[in-house]
Amino acid sequence: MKKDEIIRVLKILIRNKLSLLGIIIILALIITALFAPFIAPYPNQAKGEPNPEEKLQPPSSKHWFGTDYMGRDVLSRVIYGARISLLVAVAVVSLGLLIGVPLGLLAGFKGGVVDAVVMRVTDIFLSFPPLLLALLISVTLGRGLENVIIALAVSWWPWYTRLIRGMAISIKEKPYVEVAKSMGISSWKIIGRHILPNAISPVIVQGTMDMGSAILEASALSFLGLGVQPPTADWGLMVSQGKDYLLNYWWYPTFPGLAIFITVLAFNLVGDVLREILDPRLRRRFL
Amino acid sequence: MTDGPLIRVENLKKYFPFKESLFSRKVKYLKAVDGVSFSIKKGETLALVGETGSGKTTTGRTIMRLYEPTGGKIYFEGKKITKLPKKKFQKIRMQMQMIYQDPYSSLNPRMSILNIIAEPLRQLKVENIEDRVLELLESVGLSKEHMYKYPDEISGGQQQRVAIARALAVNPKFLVLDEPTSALDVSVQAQILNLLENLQKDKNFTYLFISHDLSVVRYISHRVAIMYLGKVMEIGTVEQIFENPQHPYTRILLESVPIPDPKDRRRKKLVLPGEIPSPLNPPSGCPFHTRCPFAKDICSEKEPDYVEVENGHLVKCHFVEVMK
Repeated sequence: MKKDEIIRVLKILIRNKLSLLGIIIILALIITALFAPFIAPYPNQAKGEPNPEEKLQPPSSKHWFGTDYMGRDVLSRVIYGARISLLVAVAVVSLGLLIGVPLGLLAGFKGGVVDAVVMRVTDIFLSFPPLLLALLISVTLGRGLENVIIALAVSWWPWYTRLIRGMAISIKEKPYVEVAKSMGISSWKIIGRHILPNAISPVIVQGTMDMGSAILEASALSFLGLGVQPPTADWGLMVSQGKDYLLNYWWYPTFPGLAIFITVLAFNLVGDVLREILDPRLRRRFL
Repeated sequence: MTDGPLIRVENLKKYFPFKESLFSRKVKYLKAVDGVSFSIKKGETLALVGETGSGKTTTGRTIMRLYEPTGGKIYFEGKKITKLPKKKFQKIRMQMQMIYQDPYSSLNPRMSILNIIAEPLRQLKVENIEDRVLELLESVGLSKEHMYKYPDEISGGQQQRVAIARALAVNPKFLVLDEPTSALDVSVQAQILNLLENLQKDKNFTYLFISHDLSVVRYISHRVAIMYLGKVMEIGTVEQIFENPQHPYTRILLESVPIPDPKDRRRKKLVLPGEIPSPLNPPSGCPFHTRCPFAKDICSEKEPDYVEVENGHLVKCHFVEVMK
């Protein structure tokens, strides 16, 4: 059984070469983040130690991505930045799912007043442009990484609630749920055993793609000075600081920008292929 | 146990409220089931036959109280279950199970066959669940190899067998079969019908068999009720209905079954004109008068009562005697 499953997934991945690339990029990012101190050529500079002798050096064999306005190695800082970005991505999406999924399941399954209340609350949250809401919360809570994560998660969960509510509504009408009810299975067991497993796939796909968007929005908040504070290495912050140097010292904002771009793209590619992997109806076709 | 019927339905009604338009305040009712009465003896199969929209599925679902009836009474083993509170009804509901038209959507695609059948067993706190599941699988003609598969890895016929095995897990007495074979290939249909028949012989099950396929109905049922727009037009034994149909609607239905012999096809046939009227706006008087080739003035004015033609053979038509 398990072996068949692995073969099926591998076959899908081989057909979707771009998605395979996405997975490789994300794996590489995770390894980079975990082993940053060993990979980065100048770990101390990545942590913020200034190096005034080598200000704004172009890319060279000594500094592959050049150096910034304090002479710090851009490559080392991009490598350390992966830690922050992945942390933000995972934390924002998991927090969003943790709030959004139970509420959505409850709203969809119970219907009636519960549904109306939950949905009106999501409406309130969704009526703000997402970044603006995150900005508002972020400003209220103050600067710092934790606050950025909280701000983004709070502006994010309603999407998951909506998505899973819709799925729950369609699944609760299925005969197998009706059978379970007629056999006296409790609501909680029905939600856990029948509704959640069949409703979660699109949410997982969405969540994966959102990891990219979370990084992007966290970068935007950093860019505006609300997120991670200097001298911590963060991609958004580096782009923000480097933007003034773009014309004469292009490498400074470009490499962290590229890192954001590639990461967001990779998460989207993986989200695409997850859709196919998670669909149980497609299972037999590839065996 | 008494010799009374297992299931008795008296003047059952199920109306669905709806609004004519978004802004109108007046609530109208869709009369999906409108005064249906019948009883089914233990070990007997009653077929409910009718076109799409005739209310046959709604009748089945209302009996199981998947829809709360609007009016009328339902008795199970002589006990009135219509007004029973949910918790008390649950015990009785376990003895009534439903088999659905589409076997795939009646099985959770994320659960293995073992877990699907084990779910009701766990609920009943049965011991040695795996042995019991295997026993149930074997009783519907499946084997151990199917136990660890998922619903999408087996064929439609096998899926329906699994659904039947799950229903058997709670030791029901009464099964509502909602077109259990119409989603299956003809060859598989016969297998499932045989299985259902054998199970009935073995365990003395009572079936309510909902179908529009007359050849299947003739094969499996003991008695037949013909439904039209939420009402039973004619009810009787298989012989009475198929050999001696009285209601014009029944006769037209029976004649619409294709005849294999091409010579016979030249025979003049009664053909049913038009579509079944909308149950949102049912005709006055006899619901069938808009399509009935024998309709007279009285048909649109007065709803006919049941006439007993033979023992247990009831017909809802003004002209039963005349047409003889």
